Amino acid sequence: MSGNNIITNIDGNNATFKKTFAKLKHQQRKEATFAFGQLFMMDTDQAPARLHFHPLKDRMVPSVLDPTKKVKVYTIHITADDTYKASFTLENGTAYLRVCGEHDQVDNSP
Amino acid sequence: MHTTSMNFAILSAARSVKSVDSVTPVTLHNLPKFVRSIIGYIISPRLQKLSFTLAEVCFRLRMMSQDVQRSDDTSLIDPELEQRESLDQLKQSILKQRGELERSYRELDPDGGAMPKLDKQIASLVQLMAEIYEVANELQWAIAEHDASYSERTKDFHASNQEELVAMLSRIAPAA
Repeated sequence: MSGNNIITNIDGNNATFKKTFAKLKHQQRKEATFAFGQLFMMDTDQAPARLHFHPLKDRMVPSVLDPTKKVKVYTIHITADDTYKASFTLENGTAYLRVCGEHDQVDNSP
Repeated sequence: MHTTSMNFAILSAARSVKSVDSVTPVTLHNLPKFVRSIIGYIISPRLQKLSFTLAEVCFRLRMMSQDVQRSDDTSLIDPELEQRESLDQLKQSILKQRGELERSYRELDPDGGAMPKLDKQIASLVQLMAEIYEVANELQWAIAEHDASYSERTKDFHASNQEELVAMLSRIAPAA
């Protein structure tokens, strides 16, 4: 287990995160709280499968710590039915939360 | 970012989706089969026209999403989440209209297979509506991810354990 990949802090200071989190329904917020809690002490090299932790493809955004640098954006599923997800960057053991919202995939069947 | 034109494009998309109403017969239950066939014959060209309209809507929303993803403009696109709300309403409208469309056409052809051309048109329309839903969702994410990179940041919303996390999220939204 690599020490560099362990999440020890969660940062919710981003205004977009706060607004999109507040827009979730009560039950979704409850499940999201549980999901975010799973991030503590999580080794990003061995993330639990149920979180569906992965980086967004072709997506680099300004670092919170040094906006001149670009970092990856990661997502996890935040509801038990996998219909909602949240994004964040990972910098020095802190998950900087960015956005919460409905997952991309929808049911195409009638 | 041209947020005014984006607002209008989203509203226009919502209006186009609502126009599915115009090809959804109110009720066909218990009508004779020949009457239902005539209705199907009349509606078919309107379905085709609507399909073209919705395909254009889908294309426009996809272009907007790609523009947002490529943008390096640091000004916020949707600071008050108004466009997010409009796109949510568009998505809800799609689900409702899709359900109504499928219900109506089950009544038009309850045994299935009597109107193959119409069946194909309905299937295309339903698929288009699913694509618009996905693209609307993609646009929501593109806008939010863009804004998250340039949003204002406070200083005192952080947690290093579960208890602090619950407290932090409760401050953002009650009873988390």
